[in-house]
Formats: sequence, structure tokens, C-alpha cells
Amino acid sequence: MNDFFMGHLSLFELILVSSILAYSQYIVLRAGVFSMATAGFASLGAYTAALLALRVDQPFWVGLIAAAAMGALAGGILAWPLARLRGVFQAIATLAFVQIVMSVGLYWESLTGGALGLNGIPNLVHVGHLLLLTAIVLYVLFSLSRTSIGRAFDIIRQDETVAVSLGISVVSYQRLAFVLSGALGGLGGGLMAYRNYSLVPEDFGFPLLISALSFVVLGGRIAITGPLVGALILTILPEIARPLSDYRLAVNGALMILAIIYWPYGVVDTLDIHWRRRRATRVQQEARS
Amino acid sequence: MQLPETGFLRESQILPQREISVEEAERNRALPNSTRPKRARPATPGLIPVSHATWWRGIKDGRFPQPVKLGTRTTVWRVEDIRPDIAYFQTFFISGALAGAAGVIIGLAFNSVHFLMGEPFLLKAFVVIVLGGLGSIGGALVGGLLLGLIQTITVSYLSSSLSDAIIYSLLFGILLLRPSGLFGKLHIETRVVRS
Repeated sequence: MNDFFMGHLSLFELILVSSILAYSQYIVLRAGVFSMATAGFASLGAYTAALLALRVDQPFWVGLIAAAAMGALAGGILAWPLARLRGVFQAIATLAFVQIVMSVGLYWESLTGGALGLNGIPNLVHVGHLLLLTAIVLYVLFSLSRTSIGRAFDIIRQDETVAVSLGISVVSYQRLAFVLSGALGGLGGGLMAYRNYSLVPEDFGFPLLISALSFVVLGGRIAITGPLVGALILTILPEIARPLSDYRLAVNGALMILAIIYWPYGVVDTLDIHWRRRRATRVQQEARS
Repeated sequence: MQLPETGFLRESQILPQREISVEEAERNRALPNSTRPKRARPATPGLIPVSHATWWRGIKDGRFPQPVKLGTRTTVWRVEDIRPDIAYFQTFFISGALAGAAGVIIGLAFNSVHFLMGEPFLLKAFVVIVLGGLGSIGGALVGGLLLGLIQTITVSYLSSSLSDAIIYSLLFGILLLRPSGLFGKLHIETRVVRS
């Protein structure tokens, strides 16, 4: 067991980092914001963390806190103009944000190293740190979803008009979701920087955005464990499908399409609904007999 | 086929039908108590190209509109319910056909075809329609021209790596200041709740 674990350590680390990025995407979707800015936040966080480690020689926890703060700041600033937009328009605007961050990363060569990126970043995080951080993130999000904030997010997602009629300030809750998403995205980016040894702006483009989104869509966007399960499945799947070599991406795509058609609420949420329904019928039967 | 403003359609008018020859109709008429078609007719393509079984499964799932029962053996659908479904099929067809045509033109213009050639245009298409205004055909044309001009001018006067930053900043700015684009009208979707 221990041998198996050690042999797949890097895969395990990748799952944890992916799940933090997935939670960044999850929190905005839960609050009914169709944001795709996770990749942009991750890029900002990654460059902040990497530059702090390379140029100023700071320990990793300073870098990670700075990365999360940078992401949160970007989220807070981005939430301001985006409060005016809805649905698809929000998605396009955040997509534009990701592209802007990427092209600034390519253009500002003195700071980011341009297309060559930053290299020789010290590998500072270990699997213990990642486990601890993921546990903290899970705990914070879990307790958050049990307070009035979580309920407000759920109402805003279901129907904004109802939320407004109940006296919930949609704009301020969505800003909170953006800030949280930014902090988690920045944290995930910082972890990527300390794990990957090198950074290029293209790492944080469309592919990362799509994978963060697909973790949440496949896993489930309501249950708190959804993004974790999504990240687990989508990170392990390419490894299992290794014998298929070139067809791995096709398998990934086919799986996504099948999941969307047959399990539109994601793996965890669909199972949850199924169990609840079963319990309800059992209670009904007991009441009848 | 021109659909009336309002009215009812039967299943045989909505779904594709096979040909019934004169001989078959005659044979069916000879059968006692049969529901088989008793009149000869040519094959018709129908309005929605799915089979009888798919159609009824879709009705059960809620993917296709619910029927109205006019009598024990007369089931019909409202024209108003059917029309959006046809529009869906048509929209996807036209969208795919236009993208294919654009692909041919790109291939001819650059003299090369490869499997990643669509990627740079994925987001540019978004920029163009937001610039011109959703739902405005002339706007898409003007938006496309504008995008090309801005891109060429920034590449020649500033820097090629900055052109993306400028285009997407423009997209961001337009979304904030004028979400309806240059020529679009403010649709209800730009303001209302997502489902």
C-alpha cells in the first residue's frame, strides 16, 4: 500500500492541486456566477509565488499567502464591473480577463520572462502541505455552506428574483464569491508554481480553464465533495487510459459528453439525488404499512 | 413548408413518413380492425427528423413538447410548441455550415490546413459578435472588419504580443459600457436571471 502510494505521489499531488482549482470554479458557480476567471487568478497567483521565491527568496508560506491575496484582490476588482453582467456575458468577460492576463504575461518580459517563462523555481511544497491545505479549504467551504452565506449562494443560483425579494444583496454575495474564487485560484496557481519547477503564460490559458470547469461539471456543483471527485476522476482517467495513448483525449471528451447527457447534475449530485429519492420512498412505504 | 401562426399538427405531419404504395394501402384496407395506413402517400421528410420511438421517448423526458389529445385516437401538437424545436435544428445546421464555409476560406487564404487551425478563431468569434451586437447580422460584419483592422494596426505599429491584450481589453470594455454591442438591441437575456 505504502509502495503504491509513494509510486503515485506526483499523481496524488496533481489531484490535490487540481481540486483546489476546481473549488475556485465551484464557489462562483454555486453563487450563480458564470465565471471562467479561475485560470487568470491561477496565473496571477503562480507568478506572484514564483517571483517571491526566485527574486526575494521568501519561504513558501509567504509566497502562498501572497498568491492567495493577489488572487483575492483580482477577484474583488473583477467583481466590481462584472456585477452589471449576467450569464453568458459574464462568461465572455471573464474569458477576456483570462486572455488579457495571458497576453500581459507574454508581453511583460522583464517581470514574467515572456514566452520562455520563469524557470528553476524551487520545489517547495510537499504532499503533506497539499493535504493540509486541501483539508483547510474543504473545511472552510463546508462550514461556509452551512451558514447563511451558503444558503444565500444557493438562492441566488436558483433564482435571483427570489433572492432579491428575500432581501439578499446579490451584488455583495457575488462579490464575496468572486473574492473567494480569486483566493482559491491564486492559491492553486501558487501551488502549481512550487510544484512544476517552471511557468509559462500558456499554462494558464484555455485548457486550464476548461479543465477547471469540467472538474466541477463532472463532479457536481452543489455537493461540497463534487469538485474533489471530479478532479480525482479526470486526473486519474488519463493514467488508466494510458494504453490507448493517442486516443486519451478522445476518451476524455466522450466521457464528458456522456456524463452531461446522462448525469447532468454531476457524479456526486446525481448520486445524492438518487439516495434522497430512495430514502423518501422508503419512508413513504413505512408510513403506509 | 409554411406553418400557420397557430393550429395543430399530427404526428404524421411532424415526423418523416415512409412511402405507402397503392398496393400496400389496398392490402391494409383488407385487414380487419387494423391501424395501418389505408391510403397511399409519397414519402415525406417531416419537420423534425427523428423516429417514432425517439419522439415519444423525448416527450416522456420533456425534450419534445407535450401532445394534446383531441379524442381517443387523435393526438396532436400545437404549432407554437413545434416551431422552437425546428428552429433549434435549423440554427445548429446553419451554424455548422457557416463554420465549415469559414474553414474552407481560411484554408484557401493561408494555403494550409491542420487540426489546430480552429483554435485562434474560437474566442475571436465571440469578440466579433459582442463587438457588433448579438443578433445583428450587419453588426457581425462590421465587428469582423473592426477586429481585423485593430489586430493589423496593433501588430504593425505596436507589438504582436500586445494585439491579443488590446483586443480582449476592448471586448471587456464593450461588455461593460455597451453590453448590447454596436448595433444590437438590449435583449432581455442581457439583464435577466440565468436558469
